Amino acid sequence: MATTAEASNTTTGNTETATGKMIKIQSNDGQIFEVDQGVVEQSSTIKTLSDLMDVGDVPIPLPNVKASILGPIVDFCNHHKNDQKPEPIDEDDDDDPNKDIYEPKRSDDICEWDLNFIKQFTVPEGTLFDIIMAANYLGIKTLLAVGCKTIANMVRGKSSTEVREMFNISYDPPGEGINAPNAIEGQAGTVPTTQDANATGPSPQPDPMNQ
Amino acid sequence: MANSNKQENEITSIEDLPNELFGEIFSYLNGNDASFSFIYLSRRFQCLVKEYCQRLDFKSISKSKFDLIFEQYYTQWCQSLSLSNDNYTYGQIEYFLQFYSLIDHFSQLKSLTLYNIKSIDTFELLSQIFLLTNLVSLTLKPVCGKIMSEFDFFNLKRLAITSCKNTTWIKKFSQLDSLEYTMNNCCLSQIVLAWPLKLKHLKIVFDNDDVGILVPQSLTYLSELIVLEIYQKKLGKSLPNGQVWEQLIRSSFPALKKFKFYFQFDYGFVSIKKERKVLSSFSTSFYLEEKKWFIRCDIFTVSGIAVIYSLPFTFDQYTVISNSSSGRIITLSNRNSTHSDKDLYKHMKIVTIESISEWDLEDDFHTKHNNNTYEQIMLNFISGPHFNSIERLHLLPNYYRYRNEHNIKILSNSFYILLKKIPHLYVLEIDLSDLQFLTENWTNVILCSHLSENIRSLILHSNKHRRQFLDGNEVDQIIRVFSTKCQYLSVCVLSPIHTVISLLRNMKQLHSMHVFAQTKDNEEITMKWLEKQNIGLNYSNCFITNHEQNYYFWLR
Repeated sequence: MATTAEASNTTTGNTETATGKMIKIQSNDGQIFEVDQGVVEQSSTIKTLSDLMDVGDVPIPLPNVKASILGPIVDFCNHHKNDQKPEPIDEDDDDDPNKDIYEPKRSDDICEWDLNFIKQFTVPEGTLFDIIMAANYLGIKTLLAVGCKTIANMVRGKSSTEVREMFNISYDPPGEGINAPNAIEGQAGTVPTTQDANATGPSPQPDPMNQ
Repeated sequence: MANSNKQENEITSIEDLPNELFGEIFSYLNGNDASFSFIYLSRRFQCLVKEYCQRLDFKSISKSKFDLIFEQYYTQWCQSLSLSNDNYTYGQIEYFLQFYSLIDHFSQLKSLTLYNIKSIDTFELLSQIFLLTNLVSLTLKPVCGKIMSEFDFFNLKRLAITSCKNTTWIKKFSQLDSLEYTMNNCCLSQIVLAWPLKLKHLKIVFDNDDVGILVPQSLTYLSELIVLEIYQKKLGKSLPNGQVWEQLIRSSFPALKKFKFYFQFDYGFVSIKKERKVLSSFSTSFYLEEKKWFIRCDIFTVSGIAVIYSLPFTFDQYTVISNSSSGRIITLSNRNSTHSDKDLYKHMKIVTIESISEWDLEDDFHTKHNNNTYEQIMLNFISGPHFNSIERLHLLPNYYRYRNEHNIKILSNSFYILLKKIPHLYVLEIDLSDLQFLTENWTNVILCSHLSENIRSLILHSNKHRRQFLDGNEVDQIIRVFSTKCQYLSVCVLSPIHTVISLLRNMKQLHSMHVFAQTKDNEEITMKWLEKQNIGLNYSNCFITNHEQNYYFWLR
């Protein structure tokens, strides 16, 4: 049964506030959050749904996000809703032909509030990946960037062995994947679109990167 | 969560992320970082690296890691390659040319960057680049125009080059859309400025007036220009004139959207009017209303110097005359500004503080400063990643490099205060005699310990006024203080050959080293010789290049 998040101060019906119309969103475990336009504007998914559907008082269902993740996401969007939009500067970057298009993007520019925000999500609990996937699903670019930058910063300079340990990554089965004969030709095949469900268990594959 | 097949309580793992999110994560990593971290994990990650990591940037990499990436990364995936002979990777390009080839290993390249090319390698490199038919973007620093004129790169759309002051050779690159041209003094050719006619984006970087006064006239025929950038590195005597640029833009560049510039000029001590005149020439209705191009002028009143530049600041270097009281005039009002200060200066990477009073290092500068404080030091700070505002120049913590360029003495205490105020400082460039003095002949425990913990790059110069040698005792002290963290060491002080061995043997963290070695007749440091010294260095973990008595080691 749906419950309403206490922090959102839900009242009956859609409410008009100083920041405009309030909209209700519902996590996959039934919790309802009430958000204003400032939050809606940051999520392309919620914005599209609220534009398309005449939702009235009915909460927009978000079947891919649970409440323990949606709550902090609402906090994140509330914190950033008054951020300046950096359009002209970005436009500057985009049309700069002097820029090498293959140059990696900066990942050292996460602001302090965002750094503290992302710290509450961890690898062992899986919540760091939950928040990244939720940001992707909800189309919140700024949060997605914070999550992906965090992962990039965690792995930079680490060997494959260290990364495997850090994220508890499974091995290809013996004789398959990179353990297959001639696997380190490296260039064959295409990127799989789904993960191999059988790819578990240790394998003897050495990691020369860590030697 | 996102996966409907997942059990309610199942913990999400990194392997649950869809491929496109790895694409997003990898967009923050170089190909070599991603390879190093992911390529051995599983077939899926190997394929992801191939799909999303098409750039290899070897600007700062150890020799072993470089070799490993070449062993394991299928280089034909690579679309963008960066090689460099910079301090951390001495001899990398020469090494590359010995063992690899752009044609055989990187035939799919679309973008290539080569930094600090030695003139001896230039022809070989250009011969190979000539055959890269997919190449559209090329960065070469430096290459003399005389050699460039022997080649045609028909497919090239973007070129960034450091080259001579005669640019006529570049006219034949008529297909270029974008050109970044930095002038140097690689040859004695006269200043002649000419540009490909179809350029849409042009950036010119030059030293001073000699070139500066010829630039506007040379641009007259570039009718397709959309972006024009002019950066004058050194102080000019002639005053920038906004009206000259206004007339040029009106008459010759109908499509110009952006005009970015940076001029330093000497307006003289007495004539405040001069600097006002310059400002008003960039404050006409053409600039402010028609184009909405705004400027800022920083005026250093004591020295009679001003710096005028367009906003937002899009160049990477800025000079401040620190001990001179400054004023500023800005034509960008809050009404017109959509940028925060952080955004306005986010491209700035190097801040040169021309001079700074020792009292600046104290907490309450204003109360302690007095007219007798003429003991000054020259500091060059290169910003760390978080530098975000010119207003914060006095906040030293963001910088990571210290260079005492003018050999001006400061006291140990002040030096320690300085180091404490720059907690991220890890590059130290200093005279050996200064370092001896500041550390009180290596006896100042606190200072030595701070240096041990923090310095990763050490560049030691010889005293300009007397010839110095690096003796065994000094080597022992350098090793004692710097061996724990230092990854790059440059000893520009004459060093007997046994000291070279001692440094290589004991500085275990070094990725590269340069020494000015004192060798006897017919004596030369070679790999064969080095192997005989039994210090664990061989062909697999060391590459030596030399120029006369300067030896460069790319290590481990």
